[in-house]
Amino acid sequence: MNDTIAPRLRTILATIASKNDTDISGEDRLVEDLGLNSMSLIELSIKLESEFDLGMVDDTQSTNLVTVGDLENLIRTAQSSDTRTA
Amino acid sequence: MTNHVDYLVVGAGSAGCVLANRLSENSGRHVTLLESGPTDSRAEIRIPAAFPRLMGTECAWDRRTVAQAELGGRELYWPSGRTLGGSSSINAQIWTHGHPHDYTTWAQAAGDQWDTDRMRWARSRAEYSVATDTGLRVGALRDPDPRARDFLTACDKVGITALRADQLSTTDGSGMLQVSQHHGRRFSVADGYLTPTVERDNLTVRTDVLVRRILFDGTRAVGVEYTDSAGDVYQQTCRRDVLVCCGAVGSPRLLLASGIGDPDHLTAQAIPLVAAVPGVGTNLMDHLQVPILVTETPDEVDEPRNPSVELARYFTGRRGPLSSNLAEAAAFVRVEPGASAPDIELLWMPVQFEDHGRDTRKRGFTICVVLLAPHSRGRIWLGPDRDAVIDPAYLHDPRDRPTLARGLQLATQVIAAHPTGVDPQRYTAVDTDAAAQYVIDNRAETLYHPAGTCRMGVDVESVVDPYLRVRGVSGLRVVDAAVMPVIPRAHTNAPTVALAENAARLIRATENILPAD
Repeated sequence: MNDTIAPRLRTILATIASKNDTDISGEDRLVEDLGLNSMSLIELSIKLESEFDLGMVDDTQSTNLVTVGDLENLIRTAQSSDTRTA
Repeated sequence: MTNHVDYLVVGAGSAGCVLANRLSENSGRHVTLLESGPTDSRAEIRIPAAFPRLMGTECAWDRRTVAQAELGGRELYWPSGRTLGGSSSINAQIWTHGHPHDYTTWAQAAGDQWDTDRMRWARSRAEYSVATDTGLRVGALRDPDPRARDFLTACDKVGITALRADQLSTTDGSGMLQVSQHHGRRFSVADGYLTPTVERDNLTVRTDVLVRRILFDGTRAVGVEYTDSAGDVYQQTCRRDVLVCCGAVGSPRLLLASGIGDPDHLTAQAIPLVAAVPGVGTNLMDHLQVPILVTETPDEVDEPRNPSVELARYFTGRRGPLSSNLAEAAAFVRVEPGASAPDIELLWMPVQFEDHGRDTRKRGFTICVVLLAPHSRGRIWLGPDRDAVIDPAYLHDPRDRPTLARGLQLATQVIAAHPTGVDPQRYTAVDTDAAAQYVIDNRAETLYHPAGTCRMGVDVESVVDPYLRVRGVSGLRVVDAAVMPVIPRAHTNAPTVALAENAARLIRATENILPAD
C-alpha cells in the first residue's frame, strides 16, 4: 500500500498547484515551489484526509515539513498509527 | 429490509440517531432509521475547520428563506445537515445547554416531564459514558487560538463574569466554549450514537432514501413511503410509532405533505386532510446573528501563518487552526433591563467570518452578536413543489431590533477594551442606531438554529402533546428541535440531543402501558 503514496500524493499536489504530476518531485518545497498558502491549506488537508487513512503520529516530536518528500514520510507514519477509535 | 419493524425513525440527525440507539437497546424491538442524505464519509466532516466546505454539497440541504422585510429584503441562505449525524456533522461543534429559565418555560408549556431536573438528567446522558460507550465526546478545544484570551480579558474589562467552559449559557458570563470533538476531530451524534450500534441485528440504517409521506390507516400512522436514489418508490410499515426527526424545517414539511396541518393550506395544495392541526409550521424561531468583522493586524498580513507548519501540526497531533471549530469563545449577557436570562450572545471567531465561513482568505477575527431570545415568530409552509417555504420573520416583533442593537453596542465596547488595543480602522464601530440599522440590513444571517415549528404543549393548540405524540392521529411523534416551545439560549445541538434522550425515556415508558396494535 505504502508504495502508492508518492504517485497519489503527487496527483493531489498537482491539482492544488495547477501543475502536471510528472513535474512534481520529492525535493519540491510545498510553500516556495508549489505555492501552498492558507487558501489551499484546507483544500489540501481535505484531499489528504480523503485519500489516505491518517491517524496521528507522536506530536511531542517536532516535524519538519518542508518538501513533498517530508509529506510522504508523514503520511507513511500517520497511516500506521490510526487512533480514531481510541 | 424486514417487515417486522416496531419503530420507523425518519431522519438520522441529532435526534434520530439518539432514538435509533436508545430504542434498539431493547433487542426485542426492531428499529429502522431512514436518512435522505449519504453516509458521513466526507473528509470535511472530520476536519473541524473544514465544515463551511460542506455547504453546497450532498451533505447539506440547500435552502433559502423568503425575502426578509426587516433585513433589507434579503433572502438568507439556510443550510442544514443531510447525512448521518444531520447538522451535528456539518456544524461548528459547539456544545452548550441553555439557561434554566429556558427549561422552566418548557415545563410551563408541556409539563414537568420537561422541567429543569429532567433536562439536567437528559443532558448528562447525552455526554459520553464509558459504561455504555454511548453519547457525545465533549470537551475543551485541543489547541485554541491564543487571541481568544484577549477577547475574554476584554469581556472581563467591561464587567462580564468569567465562567468555566461547562457553565457557558447556563448563567451569565464568558468563557471558552466546549466542543463535540475527540482527538482533534469532529465527534458527531452519529459517532456517539450510531457507531456503538453496529453489532445490533435489530437496527437497520438506510441512507439515500427520501421519505415522501407518512402512510395512514384512517388516522393511525402505519408506515412511510420513500424513494431511493434510483427514484424507485417503496413503502415500509411499522407496528408501533413513526418517529419524525427531520428538524424544524423538514418535520413540519413532512407532516404537511402527509395531510396534517392547516386545512385551508392543505386544500390549496390538493393534499387530502388526515388531521386538522393548524399549528404545524407556525412558531418558527431562529437565532439571528450579526457579525462585526475585525481585519487582520499588520503582523498577520506581513507574516502569514506558514501553511506547511499548520499542515504538520494537524496531521501529527490534530492541533493548530485546522482543529479549530471556528467559534472558540463566547459571552452570554443581558442587555435589556429586567431580562430574566441572557438575551445576547457574543461569539468570538478566529477568522473574518464571511459567506458562512467559506471565504478563508482573511484572518483577523469576528464577534458575532446573537439575538438569543427572539420575540418574532415565523412560519414554514409548502410551496407548489411541496418543498418547504421558510419565513423566519426576523425582527418582525418590534422588541427584537433594539435588543440586537444594544448587543452590537456591547460588542463594540468589548473590541475597544481588547488588552492589545484594536486600531479603530480595523473595524466598523456599531455605536449608533443608524450604524446598527446598516449592519443588520446588510450582514445579519442565521446561526442555523431553527426551532419550534411543531410546538409541544399541554394546550390543544400545540402540535404535539408532552409525550410528543402528534395531535389528531395515533402512532406518530415528532422528536427534534421542532417541538421546542421556545428556542433555548444556546447553540441548539446539545439541547436537541438532550431532548431526544428525554423523548426516548418517555417512549420507552409508554411502551409498557400502550402495547402495539
